[in-house]
Amino acid sequence: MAEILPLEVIDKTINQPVWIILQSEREFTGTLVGFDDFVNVIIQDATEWTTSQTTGISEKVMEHHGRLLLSGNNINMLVPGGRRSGN
Amino acid sequence: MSERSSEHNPQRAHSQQQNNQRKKFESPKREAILDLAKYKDTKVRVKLMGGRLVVGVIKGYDQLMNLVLDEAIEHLKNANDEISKDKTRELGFTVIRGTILVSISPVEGSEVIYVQTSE
Amino acid sequence: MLPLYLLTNAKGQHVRIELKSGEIIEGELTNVDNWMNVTLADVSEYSNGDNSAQTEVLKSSEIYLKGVYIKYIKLQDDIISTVKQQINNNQHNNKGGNYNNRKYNNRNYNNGQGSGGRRSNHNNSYGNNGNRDMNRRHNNNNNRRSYNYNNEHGKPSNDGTGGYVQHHAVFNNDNNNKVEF
Repeated sequence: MAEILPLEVIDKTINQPVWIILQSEREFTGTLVGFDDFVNVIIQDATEWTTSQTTGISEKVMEHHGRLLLSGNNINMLVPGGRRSGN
Repeated sequence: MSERSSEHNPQRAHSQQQNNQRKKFESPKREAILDLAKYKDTKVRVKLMGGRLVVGVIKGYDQLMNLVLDEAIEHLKNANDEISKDKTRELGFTVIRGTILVSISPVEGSEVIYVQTSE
Repeated sequence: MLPLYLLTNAKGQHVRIELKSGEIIEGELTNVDNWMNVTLADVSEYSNGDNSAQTEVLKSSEIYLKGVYIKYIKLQDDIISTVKQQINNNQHNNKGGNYNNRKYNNRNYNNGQGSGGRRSNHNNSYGNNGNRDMNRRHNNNNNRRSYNYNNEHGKPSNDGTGGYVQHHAVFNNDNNNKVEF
């Protein structure tokens, strides 16, 4: 019965690279600094991307230096370890 | 008390459905209606608000339907904004938010069929 | 008859659900909760791009759907009478169901107000658990007002109907008639 809890997975990602996919075509990569129960998220030195949902190709929008607070409202998925090399 | 607990026993409630005469009037449930434990380590299709389709192996979940999927694949869309069957991208080990989950169904035992529509 | 109660008692029936995205999903309703999240068995999913001569259908054994994403649920045409019959059956099966109670409920249905019947019905089932006739009659006399009260505050607690009864019981009978959850 050793369950993997989603919020525990996010917790273990703190201080590690993370890839955050929003409801829209926008995505963020960076180092996870912290999060709360709503999965509002703080990431360090984030890069913001738009990724076409038809081609899967990402374009860099901008780089955010320092910390960035991302509302949990629009977050669809979080991928620990950051962006996959194929993407 | 025994009468009450039978209302919340799905097995019993279902057998009551079979027997029309003994059906019991039921209230909506407050507890979880889907036991994700039976899908653990199996492949599921998850649809998200905003139209994404993700297929992956359930490794974990919580009460709020946040999911941990392994080997997750997101299906991309074709030109008509419909979900494509073959165009995918790899996400890997992924946490999906329960708040934006729309539907979840097992991949195993599912099949695509084509129905002729009369025009 | 509240929508969620109707739906809850339509379990086992074939339903057709349209999601906000326009997708249509059919199957046997197996479970419903307070948020109208549902599970279906023997599911057929139809995508909305049905302009060609062929429609693609995805068949699967089970599906869970979020209630907030449902546009509508098409139930069987005879669902209301079926569920009414269920309520009546329930009362006839209750040894404690007295004549007055039944008459009250029937009148209510004829007026098209299922609410009183719904509640009384539960009074009955709790009444069986060591309750006295006194309480039941008392409840009936106060039915209308009590319903309005609950309606104004609009929050069924716990499992919905049971919640109404609990409020009612506490207001009228103090500890005499406590319902456990």
